[in-house]
This record gives sequence, structure tokens and C-alpha cells, in this order.
Amino acid sequence: MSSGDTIAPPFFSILSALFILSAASIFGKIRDVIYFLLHPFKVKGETGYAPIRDPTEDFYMRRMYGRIVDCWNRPICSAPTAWVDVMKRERVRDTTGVDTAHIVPIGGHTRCLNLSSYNYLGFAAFDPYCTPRAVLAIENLGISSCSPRVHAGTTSVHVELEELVARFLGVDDAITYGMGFATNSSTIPALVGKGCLVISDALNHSSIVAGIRASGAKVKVFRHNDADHLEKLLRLAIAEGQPRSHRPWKKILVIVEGVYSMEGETCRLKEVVEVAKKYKAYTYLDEAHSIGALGPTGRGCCEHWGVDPRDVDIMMGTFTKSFGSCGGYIAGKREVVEHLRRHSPAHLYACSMAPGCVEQVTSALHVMMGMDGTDRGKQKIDQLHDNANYVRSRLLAMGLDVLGSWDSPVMPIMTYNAAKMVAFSRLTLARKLAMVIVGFPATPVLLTRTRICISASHTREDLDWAIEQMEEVVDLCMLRYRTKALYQLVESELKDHVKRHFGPEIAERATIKALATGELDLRKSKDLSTKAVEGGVGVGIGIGGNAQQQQQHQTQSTSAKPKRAAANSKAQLEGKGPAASPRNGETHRKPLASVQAHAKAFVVSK
Amino acid sequence: NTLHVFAHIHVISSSPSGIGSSMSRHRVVAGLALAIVVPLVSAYLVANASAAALSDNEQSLNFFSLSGIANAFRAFWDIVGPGGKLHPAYFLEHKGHLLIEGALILVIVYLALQHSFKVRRHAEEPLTEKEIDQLCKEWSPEPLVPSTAGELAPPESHVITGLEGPYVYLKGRKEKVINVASSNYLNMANNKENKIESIETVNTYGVGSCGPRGFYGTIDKHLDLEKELADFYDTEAAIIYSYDVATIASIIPAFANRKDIIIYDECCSYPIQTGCTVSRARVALFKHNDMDDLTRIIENFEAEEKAKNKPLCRKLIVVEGIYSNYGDMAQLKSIWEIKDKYKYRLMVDESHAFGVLGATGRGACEHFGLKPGQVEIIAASMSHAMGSVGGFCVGDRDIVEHQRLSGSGYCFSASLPPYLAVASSHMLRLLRPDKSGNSPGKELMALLQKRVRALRDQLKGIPGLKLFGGAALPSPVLHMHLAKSSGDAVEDQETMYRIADHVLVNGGVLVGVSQYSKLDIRRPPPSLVIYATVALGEKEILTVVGALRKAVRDVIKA
Repeated sequence: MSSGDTIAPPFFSILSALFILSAASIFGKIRDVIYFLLHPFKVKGETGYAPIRDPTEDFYMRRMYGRIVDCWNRPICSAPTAWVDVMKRERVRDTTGVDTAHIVPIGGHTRCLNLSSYNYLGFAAFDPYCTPRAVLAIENLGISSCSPRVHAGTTSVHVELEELVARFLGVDDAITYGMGFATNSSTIPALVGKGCLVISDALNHSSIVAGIRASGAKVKVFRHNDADHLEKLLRLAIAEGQPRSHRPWKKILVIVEGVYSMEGETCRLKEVVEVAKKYKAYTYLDEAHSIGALGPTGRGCCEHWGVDPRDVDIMMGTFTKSFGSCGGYIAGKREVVEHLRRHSPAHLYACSMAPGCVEQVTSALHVMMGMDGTDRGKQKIDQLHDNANYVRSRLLAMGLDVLGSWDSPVMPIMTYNAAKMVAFSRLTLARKLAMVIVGFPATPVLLTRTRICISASHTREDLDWAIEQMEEVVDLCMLRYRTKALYQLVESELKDHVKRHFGPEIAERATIKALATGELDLRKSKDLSTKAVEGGVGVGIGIGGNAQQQQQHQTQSTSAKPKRAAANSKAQLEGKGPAASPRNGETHRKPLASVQAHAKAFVVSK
Repeated sequence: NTLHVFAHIHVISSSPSGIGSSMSRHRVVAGLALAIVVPLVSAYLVANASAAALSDNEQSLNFFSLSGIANAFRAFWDIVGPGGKLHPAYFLEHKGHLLIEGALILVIVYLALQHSFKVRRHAEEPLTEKEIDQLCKEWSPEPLVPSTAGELAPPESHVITGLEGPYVYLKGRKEKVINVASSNYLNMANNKENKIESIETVNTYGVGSCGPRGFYGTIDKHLDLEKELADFYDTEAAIIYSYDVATIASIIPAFANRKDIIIYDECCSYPIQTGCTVSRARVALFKHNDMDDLTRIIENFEAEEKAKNKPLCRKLIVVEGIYSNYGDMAQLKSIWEIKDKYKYRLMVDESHAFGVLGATGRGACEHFGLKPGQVEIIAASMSHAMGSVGGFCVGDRDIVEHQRLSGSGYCFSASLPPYLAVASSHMLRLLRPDKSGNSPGKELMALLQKRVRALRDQLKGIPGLKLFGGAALPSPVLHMHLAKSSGDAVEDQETMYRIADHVLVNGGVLVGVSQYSKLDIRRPPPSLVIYATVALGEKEILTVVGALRKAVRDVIKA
């Protein structure tokens, strides 16, 4: 059972959500009529061309989306790290009967805590190890190769990265592409075609859908994260064969994702792989959000569940998220990768990945694998899990409906109501939190949500401050739904999780409350640090401190908390804003003077 | 009597099962309604009648105001009620049952004469779990990827380890070689100032953007680039994508679905093909650069639409300014006239023409004298003349804003790394004309044309090879086919690999050999691909031509 199955919007919120939507659409229609009466000549006449958008879509875009256009596409003018500068915007043109709303930056920006970027490991901004190397790659190999891989687009950094990715994942070989979306949309057609069947999770990403469509294979959808349903579909599909002709399928490919980006759930990979193996289907694992973020060393979903990566036929992932670059990879058996090198359109026709981006990934992988000579990678991943589990437990303890699995850095908070979602987005931005909201058509109308993405570069102070801010907004929006079934499921999942990773003794004490209040500190056997590891400095006490130290540290952190909270609320009463906000202390990183300085620094450090 | 009542019941009970499937739903509903209404009405009337019978004076009947009806009913009841002449019992007692029995016999005979064979809906028993187990055990899938045995293996890609002007260093080779396999037309990817600017951006913004455009992945550099693109093309708006093959493949599905029509040139490259497949629109291909064929296809569609009286749908013609698989150009002037006549929207992929053709570098549309706005959708890759990575599309606000919600490669992908956006902006700034109409970009483009002419002039004369498109084309994409094909595509491809290898080993020149995926609907003939760039000097061009000439002589003779 996935956490998404346990939630059901309360009756009153269904009612209010539908009321809001119908009110918005009725008023929209009335406004359109009035506009038409006032400007009979402005409405576009017959041109001989069919309109770009069909009337329903056009209406939705103008009158519904037009109202809340400020909640998306918020531009930033800094690196997407723990704190971002969100640019101020203003509506310059309102929605009319023919035109969409238009909103532009007006200059100036606000520094906000970034709870939205996929910067899981904190490689997004300047990194003392990665950035100088990326810079060197640009110096040596140019900004772009201006050529597909098969002509003159293969450089030494590409070869190095492909070897490293294969080694990191523990498979034979890997191939890289310049864009994550294109990795899926061009690899799937190269693997399956007419006469093949794809069985895809109900919540798979749009790029997978595009890939399947382009391939011409038939597709069946299994219930999200439900291996039993997958088995049922597989049995039926094999027994019945292709539709109408009833010939046996050529091959069957099961496509799942490591972490579902809108649910925050990890895939039940063990069950899925077992079922697929039993029925001789091939598995395709999209690790866009899980690579780097799951597993004790960041090796993704396989490591998280203890699945042998060789049991997964195709491992796909992106470099956009954890590694702070762009592009994607396909890893697997040698012959699969060899086939893709000959037939994958993105390998043959697309410009190869930019050398700077390649080197960024390579060096991030070096850090993750400890090849930079420090344990920064290990600390990053521990920090990420600790941050994610802490925030998840705090939010659940607040009574919010938070979907997703433990260790997963993605956590959607259900709002169930489009108006609440929008209010939440605007109120949090006013309190300097940059958060993402997702509504129809990306989710069902009644399952609108707001989403948090946690990063290793967030400090505990950042997160505490963010939760404090959210606390008020949550009350204003009345989001404490306290769905019991969800809470119980997540708590039992926590016990499972702790049991698997930390042993049964700790699992007995593992409750959401204990995690939220700090009674249970999952990192304590590893690392006592509560500071972020960004920049590789100030890492805290180190590995394996003695028990006394731990005790001390714990009492300190728990006793410090109420004090800080009190100070904050006092400061807020006085209208000063949160006193503990690190926003005031954070200085904008200045670019270093020259490339040579970087290059030198990195040579010396080596 | 009991017998025929029994028979009666039997017939009635069997009739629904016999005709139940053919009986339409509204007849069932009407029957049910009658079955409820008729007894209610009669019960009401009977109650009235009996009430009237109980009360012996007329006044109590007036109370109901129905005395007339009640009286009439009483008279009616005398005839129809028990003992009346129209009562069924009277009818049956006077041999009426014979009539019914006769009718029933007729029905039985009729039914007996009908075909009794009926196809059962579930002719086969559903599979048992055991049988499904067996089937699953028996099923053996094809391997995930076909075996590569017997297939011509392409040579290993050459690994570039360093750059120096038009030269590159390759792994395993000491001397530098001339690179004519990169479409770095204006040498923007290696431009010094451009590099410095990009590096500064990497230091400030990091490499990746870590999010899609909608979710805080919009960085001010993206907005700057979009504005500069729109200004450069003199259109209302522009939109950038983060990868070249995903650009067109996302734009096309945004403007067409099942109901719509797309016509494209049969020589269009894979991104256009896949975009059309993903859109699921009605697709037709016209013969390469054949305007008559295009007109014919359009007229067929028009006639079909008219005959079926369909509502107006979105119609799109897609061509490439310079065809990347052939190196020749679309006849945009005539295509535009046709498009305008039949009210199709035109989409031009300017990937190889942008920054190369036209007085200001706007591409093939400008080259053919089309003004901004005349072509609805212009898309291009940023990985050629711009020396960056990614793609863009310019057009009306409607066209662009629509893509921001419907372009899947825009909505669902991380945005372009900011430093690549900066590199693209840099190139646009070079192209921007000053007050006198000159710009550094213009000089570069003139130089490029000089190189194109020199290369085309000299390459067309190589015996054994045929330059596609001839010497007069201003296109910097040069495809050299075999003058005499062996008739076997695989053999030709192998010859091309050998020529390219010879050119590299003996001549020190890196040329590309076109390779096509099995997914391509049409595999153009094997070719050597040579890109003219501004970095090539006259000396290098002479080397390239000399090396090719020698290689062809050695390989084809041998």
C-alpha cells in the first residue's frame, strides 16, 4: 500500500474545492461575455487558421491559470542553492477576453529559503572541488562540442564520466546524454517497438510517456507502486498476447521510477524486480530523483532496497538533480549500451553533453565516492537523509498530510483545494520560503499539493526556521487534516525503515513524535553534526563520538530549541522578523577573480 | 384452464429472455411505467366505484366531483367485471380458450422452425490459473536488444583531448588534426571572451539549474536570452529549450493532436519525425523539395476535409531551412506561397541556417526574403552557430505562451544550465547590428560564406565522390556521397568508414561519417559530413581537400 492510497480529501474540502473552481469558471465566463460586449471588434475574427488552443484550453489558460500565474515560473537570480534570490514580479497585463495575463520582473529580489530545487546533495552552487574542474573543462574543451557523439562530440571527459557512472552503479557500461528528458524519450523507442508491451507505473514521468508514444509499443498501466497489480497485468498480458492478433508479445518492459517526483515515494523495487524476473519481463528503472539521494552511499534505489543492480536491466538516471548539472545516463549490460550507441537518436543526432556539465558530474561523483580524499560525500548524503527525515517527521507531527517515504528528499503536503494551494504559495513566499505548488492538470483536481525538496545544504537552523514560518501559514490555510490512516502507515514505514538500516532495538523507539522532537537522532551513531556540509567546512565533531558526547549534544540541541523558538516569536511580535534566520548572516558568494586562481587552488589541494 | 394459464405464464416468462437483448432500454422503462400507472389508475377508479356503490345517494358522489365518470365506470364494470360479457371468464367459458391455444400452437410451431443454433458469447472457458501459469512458463521473450552479430560495427568514436583553433588533439595521436566534423560555424564554442563570460557564470550560478522552468528553475539569464532572441528575430516572444533534439520534438506535439494535419518533407531529420509520431496527428510526407507534390497532398487533404464536412483543424507544414541530413535548402519562398494560399501554418527548423544565412543571420527565411512574422514558428538548435547547447523557438506571443504550458520538453525538463544561456546571449550580441548596420557577427558570416564557397568549389571536383547540392549552395553542411554506389548500403557505409579512417590517419583530418538509427524512417545514402567553419584557413581547406582526394583514390582503387 502506498501512502497515496490512504488519503481521502475530507468531504468539506471536496465541497469547497468544487465550489471555488465552479465560481472561478462562472465568473470567468461572465467576464468573457462582458469583454465581448465592450470590445466587439477586438475578438479575433475568422483568419482561415484554426486557433492554436481549443476554446476550453484557452478559457482555462486565461481565466483560471491567469489568476494564479504568479505562483509558477518565479525567476531567480542566484545559484539554486539553500537560499535563493527570488526576483520580484508585477502583472503588466491582466487577463482579457483574448489575451493571457503577463507578469514580468520589475527589478529587485528577495532572499528566500529554497525548498524547491532538486539540489539534493548541494552541488548546485559553487563547490570548491567541482567548480574549478568544470571551469577547466570549459577552458580546455570549449563551451560545447557542436557535434553529436559519433562525429566529434566525444571528448576525454565523456569517456571518463561513462566509465565512472558504470563503476558507481556497479554495472558493465553506461552511455550519457545531454538532457534527462531526452534520455527517456529517445532510449525507450530504441529498446521497444511494434509488438512489444510496456507496463508502466501510473505515475511515471511525462518523458517516459513521450518515449513510449514515440516507440509505437503498446502500453498498460499498473496501479502506482502495486506489485500485485503488476503481476496480474503481466500474467494476463502473456496469456492473451497482443490485442486482436493474439500473437505472443515480442518483449515486455516494466518501467518504474526510483522516487516519484510528485509523491515523494520510493519504488518498491524488490517486489517489482521479483515479479518482472518471474515473468521474464525486462525492468527499466528511472532514477531521476533517487540517484545520489537514496541509499547509504547515494547509489540510488537499488542500494536503498538492497537489490542487485544487475537484476535491473536498464538503469536510467539524470545528472540534473543530485549532481547539480544537466543530462542523463543509461547504464546496464554491455550489449544494451552498445546497441544504444548504434541506434539511440540522442546519441547519433543530438549535440553531445557540454564538457563543463560533464566535468561537474564527474567531480560530484568523485566526491560521492570519496575519490576527492575526504568524506564530504558521505557527510552530504547523511545530512540529506537526516534533514529529510527530520522535516518529514516535523510536518507529520504538525498534523499535515505528507506523502512519501523515509529518506526521500521529496515531500508533498496535501492541500486538497486549489485555492488553499495558491494561498499557501503566496503566503509562504511572503515569509521568504520558495516552495512549489502542483495542481490540475499535473495532479487530479482534488489532490492539489505543495511540495518541499530538501537539500544537504540546508542546515538544521534553516529547516527549523522554515517550519516555524510554515506553522503560521498552515493555520491560516487550515491544512491540518490529520488523516489517521496516513499517519499510521507512515509510522509503520518508519519502523520498517529504521529496522532495516539501524537495527531492531532502535526501531522499537522509532516514532514520528520522537523523530520530530529530537529524542531519536538517527545520525548519532554516525555523525553528530547539525551543520550543513556545504563547502566542506565546519563538519562538526566527526565520526563515532562517544556516548557521553552524544548525550550532551542531544540535551543541548533539545534545550536550545524552545529558547530559539521563543526568541523568534518575540522578534516577530516586535516586527523584526525571525531572529534566528541565517538569511542575515549568509553572504552572497562572489565569483572568484579568475579561472587560473581556481585551477591553482585545485592543483594545490590535490 | 390450468393448462393454458400455465402455458401462458411460460410464454411470458420466456419472452424476456428471448428478446431481452434486442429490447431497447426505453421500451423496458415504458413497460415498467405502464405496469405501475395502469394498476394505480384502475385501483383508484375501483375504489371510487365501490365508494359510490356503498353510498346510495348522489350527493356523496358530488363530493368527489367525479359522479359522471363513476357512473360510466359502474356501467362499464357491469360489462367487464365478473359475470359481464367482456370478462375473460365469460370468453373462456364460451370456447374462447381454443383461440388462445391455437395462437400458442402457432407460436410454438414458429419457434420450432427457427434456427436453434446460437453463438454463445463466451464460447471458450476463461483460462484457468494453471493454464496461465503454463503459458507464462512457455513464453520466451526476444532479447532486450537484438544481437549485433552480422551488423556493420561503426568504428569507435575518436576521443578529443584538447582544442587549438581549427585543430583538435585526439587520444592516442600526438599530432593535432583538423576538425571539420563540428558544426561550430562561427567558432563561438571556442571564443575567448565567450569562454570567460561562461566561466564567470559558472562561478556565480553553478553549473546546473536544478529544476524545471516552472519550479524556480527560471534564472534571469534565461529571461535575458529569451528577450534577446525575440529582439533579434523581431518577434513578440521567444522560448528556450534545454536540448536540441527535444526542441522540435516537443514543439510539434504542442501544436497538433489526433484531429490535426501535419505535412513534412520526407528528408526531415529524426526530431521532426518523432515529434509528428508523438503528436499522433494525421501525417503526410511530400517528396523532397517538390512543390507539386506538396500542393497535391494539401489538395487531397482539403478535398477529404470538405467531403467529410469536418470542422477547421490546425494544419502545419514542417521543413528544415538547411536539411541536416543532406545539406541542401528548402525552397521557402514557394513553400510560403503555398502555405499562405491554403492557410497552413509553417514551421521551419533553422538549426543549421541560423547565424549562417540571411543578411542579419536570421536564417533561411531571411535568405529567401521572408519577413519576421510571415513564418509562424521558427525553431533552431543552439548547438551549431551559437556554439552552445539547447534549442529555441520564436514566434507570436500566442505561439510561445502556448508552449510554456504544452511543450513537454519545456515543462517537464530541467532548464538550460545558465552558463550555456549566457554563451548563447554572447553570440546574439555579436550579431546585433550597430547604427551603421554592421556587426562583428556580420563579418564572421561573410568569412564563413567565403569558406563555404572555397570548400564547395574544391570538393565538388574530387573524383569518386559527389557533393550533394553542388558548388553554388551557401549551406555550410556538406554531404559527400559516393559517385558510384555499389548498390549495397552496408558496403557503401563501410567504404565511407574506410575513407574517413584514411583521411584521419594519413591526412590528419577528422571528418564525420553519417550514421542513422534504425528508428529513422528513411536512411539517406552513406555520406561523409564536412562542416565549413570560420576557423578553417585556406591552408587547412587545401589539406582537407588533398587528404580526401588521396583517401578516395587509395580506398576505392584498393
